[in-house]
Amino acid sequence: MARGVRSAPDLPPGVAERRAVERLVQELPATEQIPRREGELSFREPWEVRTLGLVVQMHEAGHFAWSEFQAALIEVIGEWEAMAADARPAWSYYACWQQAAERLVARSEFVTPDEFDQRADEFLSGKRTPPHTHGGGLLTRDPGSRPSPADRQSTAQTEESS
Amino acid sequence: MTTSQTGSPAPVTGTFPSSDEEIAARVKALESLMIEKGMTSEHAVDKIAEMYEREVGPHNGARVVARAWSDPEFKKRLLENATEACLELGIGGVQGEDMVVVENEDDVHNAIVCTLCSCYPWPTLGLPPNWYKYPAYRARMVKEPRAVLRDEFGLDLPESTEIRIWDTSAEVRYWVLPQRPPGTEGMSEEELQELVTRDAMIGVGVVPAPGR
Repeated sequence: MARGVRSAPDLPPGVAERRAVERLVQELPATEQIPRREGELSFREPWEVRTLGLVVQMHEAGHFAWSEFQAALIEVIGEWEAMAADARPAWSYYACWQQAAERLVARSEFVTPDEFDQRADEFLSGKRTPPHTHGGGLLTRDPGSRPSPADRQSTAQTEESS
Repeated sequence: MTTSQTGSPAPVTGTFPSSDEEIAARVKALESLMIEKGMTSEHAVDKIAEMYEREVGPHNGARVVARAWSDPEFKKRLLENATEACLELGIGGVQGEDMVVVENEDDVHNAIVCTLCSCYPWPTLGLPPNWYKYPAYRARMVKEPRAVLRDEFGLDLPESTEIRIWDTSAEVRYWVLPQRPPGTEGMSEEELQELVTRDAMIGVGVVPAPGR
């Protein structure tokens, strides 16, 4: 993952990898707009980290050149800027990032637009939540030495042991 | 909504999603399709995302906890209907997800686990820590929670404390309202927020008293 980064044996784990990501991010348009906290990339929502991870990983796996992602991002940011101020959503660097990723994927014909839209709709509507059919609720009670009320729900075994 | 198209291939939809729910669904869609087509793996994306997991902190959850400690009426609403109460603070779950907050008391300690996958109360707690996804945590927390808390997390609860383990699923996201530590009586909500840890809201820790 840390290709192109000189290894520095005294760095704590993960630092070289972060620097590799940092180097990619530095080459992007509007890089001063990337949210940061104390110099480090920062994220407001978990999806922001997922889209960052996905794009960086796909680039590292050789599915597209970083310059292609740069170009897509420039295009998307340009479109956002060209929209009327009252007609566009609030600025979000990672929303533009995701949009750029979607376009790259669509152009490479890995995924058809219909296929993508359908999948996104399935997630949005809750049709495609992973098979979390475990029931939820109280799983285990370890009463310790505390007296337990007789009518309280007692230990429920997890049937699913996968 | 249309965007400028100058002869380039039509974008997937050409629109900018306006809500976090919508865009989160699109991110999931892209990742799941790429995984299906063998172009990436969940593990590979995890590896990068994990480098930043601390950067999506449990700020929202800490805000909710600090409010509950400071405002008994809010706490009551939170325990009755966490989804609604969190919305009061502008913290919303993704569609279809309900939150339930379970309260720690002097003689009851709660913790959460996802038995099958890694369901987690993202909107309040941010990204789950690595260990939360490990099968060993999931399985052992159900079988012998007292030992796991003591041996793995250094949380040695008195034998007189009852431990309850809750299964957080896609439909119901449980999380824990920790006890307010002693020595915090004069603190503001903002100061209290700083004390609240992710582990305390998962239930594998407690909120330490200030200065410890």
